[in-house]
Amino acid sequence: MAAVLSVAAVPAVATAQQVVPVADRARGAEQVVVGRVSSVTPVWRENDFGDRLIVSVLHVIVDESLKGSSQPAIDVEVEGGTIGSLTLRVSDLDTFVTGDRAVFYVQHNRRGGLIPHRRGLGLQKLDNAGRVRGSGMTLDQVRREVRAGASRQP
Amino acid sequence: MKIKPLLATVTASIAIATITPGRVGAYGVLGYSWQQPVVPYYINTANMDVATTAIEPAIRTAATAWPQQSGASFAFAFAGFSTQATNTNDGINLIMFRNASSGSALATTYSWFSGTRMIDADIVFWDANFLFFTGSSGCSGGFYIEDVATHEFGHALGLGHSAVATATMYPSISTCSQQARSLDADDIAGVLSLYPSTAMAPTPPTGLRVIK
Repeated sequence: MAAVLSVAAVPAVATAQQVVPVADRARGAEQVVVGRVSSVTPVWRENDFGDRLIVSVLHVIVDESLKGSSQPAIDVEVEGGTIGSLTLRVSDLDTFVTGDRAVFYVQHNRRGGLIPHRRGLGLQKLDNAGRVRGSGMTLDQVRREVRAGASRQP
Repeated sequence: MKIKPLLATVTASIAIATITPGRVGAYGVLGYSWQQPVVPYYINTANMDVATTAIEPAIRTAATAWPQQSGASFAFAFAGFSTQATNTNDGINLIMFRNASSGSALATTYSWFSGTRMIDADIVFWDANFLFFTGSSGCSGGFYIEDVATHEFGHALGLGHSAVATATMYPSISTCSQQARSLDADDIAGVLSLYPSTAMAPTPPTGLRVIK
């Protein structure tokens, strides 16, 4: 269960997601989409740092493109997952299963794959009511903030 | 000179959106733990903020906090220095600093497990956007390694986040806070649920070796 805690002047966190304004998340992202995970495929991948990790490739059916190119589906690589009996869990990244709906703020890695922009900040799961889990933020608010962030691009 | 954008002025809400384990009490357990009582770790001390000689004592403070303050039958033990800068499931539990950012996280723990058995854990400090300090004085606009590492070792031994604001495993930390290095009763209950206390906490080995 996700929870939201209002904290005054909390500057940073250890292995949790700070609610950085959506506009800030969107500003550096190449692409922002709202979509539903239709499949999760765990694979071995080397990330940009040279870490050899289990990565879950999320096939995301795009409901809506909020920024960047419009595509019917994208694949997003999220560190962590299970291959055979071996599981990798990464403390600052959410885990996804088929059916999860989320806002994905993504960028390309060096191999050309799409990864969450600013790691955990690039993933915002939505609840059944279409609100960002743990925040109560509506999708309409996300749309407005993404547009605001995009309009402030240099 | 390195310039780091400090986040110290940010007023924010914190979403516990990542490691969200099954709740037993306020603490969370992730469903896996180490099977051996003593687990070695290595440190790559290369970093952007503090003398490399200050790193190991700070990390040791964090590692020993768990068995010493809880009496749990488990300990992380310093095994040596390393120049390795990548992590994977290689049986080397590595702590390193990386000149990169992870969005908002100060550090990340990569936990490898098979079934309920933990087999590897690596901790990465994200050094690009945050200032790190060691000890108990001199911090300004940054974070003490002792406190961040104590939290990460909690993940590395199988704990998730806690809803108790004073707990080490609470998912946020304020600048220059020294609270996380002291376990809360909730943290102690959590670690004892995984590694029940025995008459004596395990004694870490003293032999060291250097790995590349």
